Amino acid sequence: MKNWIICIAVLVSKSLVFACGPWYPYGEEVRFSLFTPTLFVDNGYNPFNYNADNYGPEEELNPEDDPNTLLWRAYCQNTPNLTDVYLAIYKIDPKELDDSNSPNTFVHYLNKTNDKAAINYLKFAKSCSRYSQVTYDPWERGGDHLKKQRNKKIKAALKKCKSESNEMLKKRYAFLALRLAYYAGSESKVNSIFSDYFTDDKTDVIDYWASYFKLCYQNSSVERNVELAQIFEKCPNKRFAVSQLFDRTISLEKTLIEAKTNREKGNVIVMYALRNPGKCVNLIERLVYIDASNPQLSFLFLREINKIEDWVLTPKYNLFPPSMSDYYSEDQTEQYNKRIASDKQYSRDLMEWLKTVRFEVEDARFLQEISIAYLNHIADNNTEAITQISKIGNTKNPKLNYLKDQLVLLFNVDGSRNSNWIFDDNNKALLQNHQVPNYSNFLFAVGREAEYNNQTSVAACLFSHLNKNMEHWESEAWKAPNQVANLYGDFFTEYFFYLDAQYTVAEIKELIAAIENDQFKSPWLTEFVSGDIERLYDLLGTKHLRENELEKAISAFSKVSDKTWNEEKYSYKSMLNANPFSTDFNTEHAKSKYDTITYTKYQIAKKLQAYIAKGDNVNNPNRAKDYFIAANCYLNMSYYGNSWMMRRYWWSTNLIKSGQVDDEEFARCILAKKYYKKAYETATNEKQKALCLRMMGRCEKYAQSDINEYDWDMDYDKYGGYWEYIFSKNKHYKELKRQYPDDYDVLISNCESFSDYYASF
Amino acid sequence: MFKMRHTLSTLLILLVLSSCATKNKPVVKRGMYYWESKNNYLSDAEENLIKESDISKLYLKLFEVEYDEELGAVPISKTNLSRHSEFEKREIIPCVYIQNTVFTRMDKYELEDFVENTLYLVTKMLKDDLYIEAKPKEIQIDCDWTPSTKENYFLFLKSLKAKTSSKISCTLRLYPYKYHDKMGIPPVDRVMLMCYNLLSPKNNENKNSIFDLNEFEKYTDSKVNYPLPMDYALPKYSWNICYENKSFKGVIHGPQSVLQPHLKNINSLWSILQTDTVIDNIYLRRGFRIKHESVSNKTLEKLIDQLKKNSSFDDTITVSFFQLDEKEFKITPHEELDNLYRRFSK
Repeated sequence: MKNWIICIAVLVSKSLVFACGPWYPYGEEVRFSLFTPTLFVDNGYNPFNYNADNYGPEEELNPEDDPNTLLWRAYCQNTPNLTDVYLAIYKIDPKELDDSNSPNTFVHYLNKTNDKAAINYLKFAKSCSRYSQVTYDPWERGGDHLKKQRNKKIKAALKKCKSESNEMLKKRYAFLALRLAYYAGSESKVNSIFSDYFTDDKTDVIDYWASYFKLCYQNSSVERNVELAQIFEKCPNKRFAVSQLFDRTISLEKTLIEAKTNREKGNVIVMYALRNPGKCVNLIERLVYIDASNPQLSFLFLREINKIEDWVLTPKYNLFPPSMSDYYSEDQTEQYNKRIASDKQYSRDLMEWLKTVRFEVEDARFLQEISIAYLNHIADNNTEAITQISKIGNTKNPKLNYLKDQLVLLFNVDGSRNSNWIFDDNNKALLQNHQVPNYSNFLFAVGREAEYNNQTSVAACLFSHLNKNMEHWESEAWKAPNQVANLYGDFFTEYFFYLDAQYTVAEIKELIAAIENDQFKSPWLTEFVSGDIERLYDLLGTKHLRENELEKAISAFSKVSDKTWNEEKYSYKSMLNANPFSTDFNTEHAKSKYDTITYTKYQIAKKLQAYIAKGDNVNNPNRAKDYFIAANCYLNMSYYGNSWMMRRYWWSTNLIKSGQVDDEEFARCILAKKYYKKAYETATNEKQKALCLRMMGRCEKYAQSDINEYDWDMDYDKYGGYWEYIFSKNKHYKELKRQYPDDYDVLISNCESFSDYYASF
Repeated sequence: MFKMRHTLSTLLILLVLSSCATKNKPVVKRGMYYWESKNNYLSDAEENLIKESDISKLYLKLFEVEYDEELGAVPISKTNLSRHSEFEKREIIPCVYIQNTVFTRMDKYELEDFVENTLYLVTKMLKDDLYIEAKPKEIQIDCDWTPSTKENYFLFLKSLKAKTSSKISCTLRLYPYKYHDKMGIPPVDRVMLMCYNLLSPKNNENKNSIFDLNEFEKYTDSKVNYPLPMDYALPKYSWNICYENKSFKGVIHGPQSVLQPHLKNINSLWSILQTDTVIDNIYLRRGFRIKHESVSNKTLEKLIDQLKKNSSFDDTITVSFFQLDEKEFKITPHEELDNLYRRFSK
């Protein structure tokens, strides 16, 4: 056997989760969310969506969310394709702008209309873009040198600005000069260019951009806050920078006074709710009251729902604490439960308020309606959730309809406590669609609701689909309600190990029957579990063995083919590679001379049963030997033996007990001791008896080390050390010394004596 | 006694003869170019190659220079290489490739800045990125100058030489080698004759643009008295040029083997792609015509023999292959490379 530091017999995880290194899920990896903002659209608010990770500027916008792309398209009479405009202004090489045969419809349009001015502008803008980064310094000569280079560009931009006749291009050149002046650190240039070419009357995104750079040189003020709030709304690609500049130390009330229109006021409120990780319903209420048609309302509202999902549903489904919280220890559980109860109340409060208002924008209104139903579900009022959602029709936005369909299914499964949920084709379509960003959360939630309603077979089938063909960051990690541990700790990413930890014998049997009887009539649902049917029989047998039901274990193991026992990926062959019926005084996992014979789980159980039967046979003259061999097998099936895989799927140096039903047996070798005792009682000579006592003492050593775990506060020195202390508590060694004082020393101190004594059988 | 004395003197003469290279049998320093920008380190295979082939000089391209209308010369494609123990054991010659357009567009008043920037960046990259503290013995400039850029380029070289104690070398194509009266002699300490890339890949459908012996002979058919010490760069690279009909679609560097399963050969240079595939981010479609160009060791032997015919080598020359790339040397064992280096001295 292999003596590994951490021995993962683990029957192979196909999961991609553990691609490298130790990992414990936290933050976004455990946060539960169905109202995933990216499910709807990438609307330029990604950096501000509720998220446990650190946030930063959004790297790229969608063409339809980028006002600059829209402006260029309008410049071309809305003729070119929007994506082509986006690609041409941000992506393609400047040389390609001259290609009159370009497949890019925007480039083609500019060349066809012979718009050299626009082409030259774009080329110039591209040549400036590298200087609009704080760090760009091609010759690596430091700030002053770079400043000179930027000044050259500013000069060129202003020259082109003056000679340009097209007003839009003129303004764009001026903006390039202004932006370069900002990066050159020239406040005076920024201000003079702004006053020469821009006013506070903003007509397009370029005006807002220019304002932003001007504001960067202004001291914090109420006025600046108001203006920043408007830029935040209008310039998606400046949102992160604007939010950094916005001064939240100035109170909302003071800033609101300075805002003139309702839209301005609404945008100001958004800025104060933007990064608030706490409850913000009061700000949302004010926003709706002042500016119900504010386009940022959906974003803010969604953020609030995401918070409640995290606070209530992450602990409900994944059983992790909310992603935006510290890890809690057991003594904090009560506090967390109180907090969840208060968050459910917040969910009710938000729902009650939602019922009293009417959002103006259609998508926001639909979101409002399904949120009322969802908040009912979150607040444990699923019956009302089902009633609410059944009243909602469809909207134009298919993504929102899709979310509604997901909710209907989730609520129905939650409501199916007394009747088995019917898995039909509509459900399948929703559950199969792993393209949507909330896929694994949705699939897991449905599985969890089914599980909570004792529909464990369908839940197992759903769990088996998790973490298949996905990247690490999209994976699902969850804990077991019974708190049984796994090799990696207290969480699971693979259904099989979850079933090993959580499911009862009856539940595994029911699952096997459901698969074999094709109960769900869904090849998709049972795709993975069907393929694992022999593994499930192994699991059933293992669970029977844990309950000391040897006959039942044999029956289950008999369903596993030799092909499966021998498959490399399942590790049976590499971990059950020693003779479980032999041992000596010390051998645990180290390779021994007996390891020339190996058996499958079925063969071990069957042979063990035979040895016990022979031991029980009063007419058998060698009963003691048969009992002794059976005891060896039980010892080897414990944590300390070479066939621990009979009871476990993983082995670790730092975790002996994981919460399984046979934890004590696994750690204390109780059955092994029982059969060594039977061997002692049926022994036919003194040498046999002495050896049996010695082996009972070995089992007792493990039991005592489990009962008396190392206590850092205890002084073991007076015993000569911890293991000497454990030795001193070993009643069987005492008995050995009492009964066989002449054999004691040799049996205790001489490892080689085992063979001599064993020969007496 | 006399016999012993005679033996000793014979031995001494032999030793003297063997330690003193002749014009025809130069001492060859083994060099290799490393032109790749993206890699952070040499691969194990590349490291082994320079060890096993006893490469003593490594020509490392540090960066290239292009011209920006407003900013003038700017460096691009900087190497990502970082410190490597092999660099400390060998002479590293920093190389800078300058696009010829830099000198077309550059005002001669910008030259001084450009020289200073170049020296500054070379020194900085050697020190900060490659951790090479010692001043380089030699800096090599690579530029395909033309008569119209000669003046600016030579001014640049002259100024560069004046501002550093390192020796300055530059690459020399076969045309300016043979027609040096017309193309001028660059003001440098030594030149590296590039014995490849004689033809434009686009205009010579049936010829190997990397190396063609007939073309090579046109420049080396007679003795050329070039007035500068000379080293020699030989081709050890290959590429696959992809066309859809006549339209150029991209280049896949390296041997043909990467494409082999998808190809149907037409002749020794051309093949047709049989299936759609993506290689090096180029979407290659069925029916694309692929021109594979490489230079065999046999051809390299002929190249060396042709060089030897009409060249009078200096006592010590550097022979450098372009370029150190594990893909290329997978198919050339170091023993064969060793023979190629030795062939100059045979």
